[in-house]
Amino acid sequence: MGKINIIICTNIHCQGSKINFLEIKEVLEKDGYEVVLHSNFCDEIKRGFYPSPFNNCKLPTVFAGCSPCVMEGKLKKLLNCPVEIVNIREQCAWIYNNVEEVNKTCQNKIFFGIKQVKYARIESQPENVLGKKLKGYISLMEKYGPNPFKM
Amino acid sequence: MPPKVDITKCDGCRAEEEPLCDQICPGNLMRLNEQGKAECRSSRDCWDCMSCTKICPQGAIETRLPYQLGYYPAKLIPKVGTDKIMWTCVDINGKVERYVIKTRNN
Amino acid sequence: MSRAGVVLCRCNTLIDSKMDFNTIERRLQKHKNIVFIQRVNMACSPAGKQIIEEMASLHGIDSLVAVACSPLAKGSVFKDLTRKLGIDKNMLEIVNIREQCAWVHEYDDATSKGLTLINMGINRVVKAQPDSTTINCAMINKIKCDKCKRCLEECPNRAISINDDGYPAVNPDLCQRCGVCIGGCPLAVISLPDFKVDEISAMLKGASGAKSPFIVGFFCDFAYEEADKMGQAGSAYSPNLHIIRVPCTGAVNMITVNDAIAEGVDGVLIAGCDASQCKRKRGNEVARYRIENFQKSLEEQFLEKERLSYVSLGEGLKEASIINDDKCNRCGACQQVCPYGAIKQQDEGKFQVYYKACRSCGICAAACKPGAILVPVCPDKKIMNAIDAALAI
Repeated sequence: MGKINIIICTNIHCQGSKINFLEIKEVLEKDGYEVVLHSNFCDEIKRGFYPSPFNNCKLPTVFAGCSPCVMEGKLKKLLNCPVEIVNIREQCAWIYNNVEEVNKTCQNKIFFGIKQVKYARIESQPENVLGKKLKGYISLMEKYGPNPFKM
Repeated sequence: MPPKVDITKCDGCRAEEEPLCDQICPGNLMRLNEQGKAECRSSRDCWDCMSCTKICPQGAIETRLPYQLGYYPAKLIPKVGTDKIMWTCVDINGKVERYVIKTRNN
Repeated sequence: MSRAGVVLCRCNTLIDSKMDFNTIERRLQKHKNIVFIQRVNMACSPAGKQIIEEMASLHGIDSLVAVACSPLAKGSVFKDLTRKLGIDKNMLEIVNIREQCAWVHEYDDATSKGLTLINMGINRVVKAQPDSTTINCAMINKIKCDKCKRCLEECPNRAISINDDGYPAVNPDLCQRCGVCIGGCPLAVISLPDFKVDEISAMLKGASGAKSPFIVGFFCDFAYEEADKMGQAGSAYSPNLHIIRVPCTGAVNMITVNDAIAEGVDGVLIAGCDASQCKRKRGNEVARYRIENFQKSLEEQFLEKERLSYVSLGEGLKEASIINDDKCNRCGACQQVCPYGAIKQQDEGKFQVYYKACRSCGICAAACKPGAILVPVCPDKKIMNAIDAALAI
């Protein structure tokens, strides 16, 4: 085992206080994974870069936090390694009230992510098509000047 | 002066029996000819109300200004929005002026 | 007089670290239709939802402007919330200031663009009318319709037919809500529950005071998703572009574009798919035709024709499926099911995926009996592995 990095976001506003992350971390570390807990991941990445705390930042990484629809693309760009996202916010912390259930689901979900991460690959960053096309268009509009109907 | 139909643009409202210009014309002057294009059946009866010009979805109809008002190249082009009409007025010297007039369509 | 509530979502500092919420709040304060402006840490979280519910019941609002992330990300959360609050579904507007504003522009640009976007959103909900009908298909306003039958011809799904009374009627079972009929209607009498021409025109009125040149972009669902993708990747583009989401490029009525030009918008971009890619079968085809026509009318008005332009984005943004020719039995099922027309048979009988048109949806892989199609983002092996892992837990 091993050779997988795990990032867990434990933000209290997102995950609440029901999940015992330290225990989950212990279990994962026993299996030989490198685990980092972030109390506020959003705050750390808001400047647009992520200083990797891992020994080898290029290893496949499991990110446990919010749903992929929140920042899948941003995360993949920041980490620049194969990433599997585990949704422990919308599909775990926000729907269960029972402490035991939340912890169990959270742990299972992370293990599930670990099994799946081998299929993740580094995705090539999309070309900035919109930026390029827009640049040409705007310089054309600037050349034409403002719309004469503008009052 | 009668409305002038640009037959390259007019699609006869896809050959419906009653195109939009026909439906809107207060004098019932528009009709489709054998080629399926709109035409004004009696140009002397036209009041220059410009209804057909405004309604044509293809922008194919132009109302020629009466010569008393302005001869070539004077032009009056309306373009209709949901609650406003853009008027582009060209006078006989080719000077362009533009207005946006609110309508009470809604 | 409509009573709108504005919710500013901080997205756990991901938005408000990139733009100035204080300025926005101050500038919106004077708006006569706003009854409250509430800043929440995360509007989608249970705590955030509770705050919004409390504020809504305290002030008795009839419309909600959610200033948050893309409607493609958390749109369903807000829809659910409005249902709970008893606000009509038409009276909700989600303003995307995360992917399309905060994450792609500089601080000051993002603030001023965000303000314009919010103003546009407020204009839309102020104009919107509550609508109790539950039919989710195109609706035709018979009072204004003059039976020109253009919608019949242009509907890609043949969902519109002539009723006994001579007016067109929409078959809800066939209607795909693409809005091509809306774009084609010369009198703009057709509307979708979430897309009405007069609402879009009202949105355009929010343009005043924005940075010049002011560009409005009508982005079809796919182009919108791609713009979001740019936002996620942080690929900056000019803050002059203000994106309005439309179901399909064919849904943009030229009356709306007329409105935009009359409102003083400097340029209108219609962004959709590359030629064959259109899921709505011929939405972009009719859009191009209409644009060509409109460009002629712009030139008649002594305006530059490029003030209305079509752009296609996203060619090859998604990794295309791969057909393994050794396993392929040439049945052609993939070609028939592909919604984007991306699979074509070559001269020698081979089937091939055109990588620019493929959106990696995986429908072909599911339809392929010999299992010859590989979807790189989600291969069969990954799904089987997921099932094994789920059973093992």
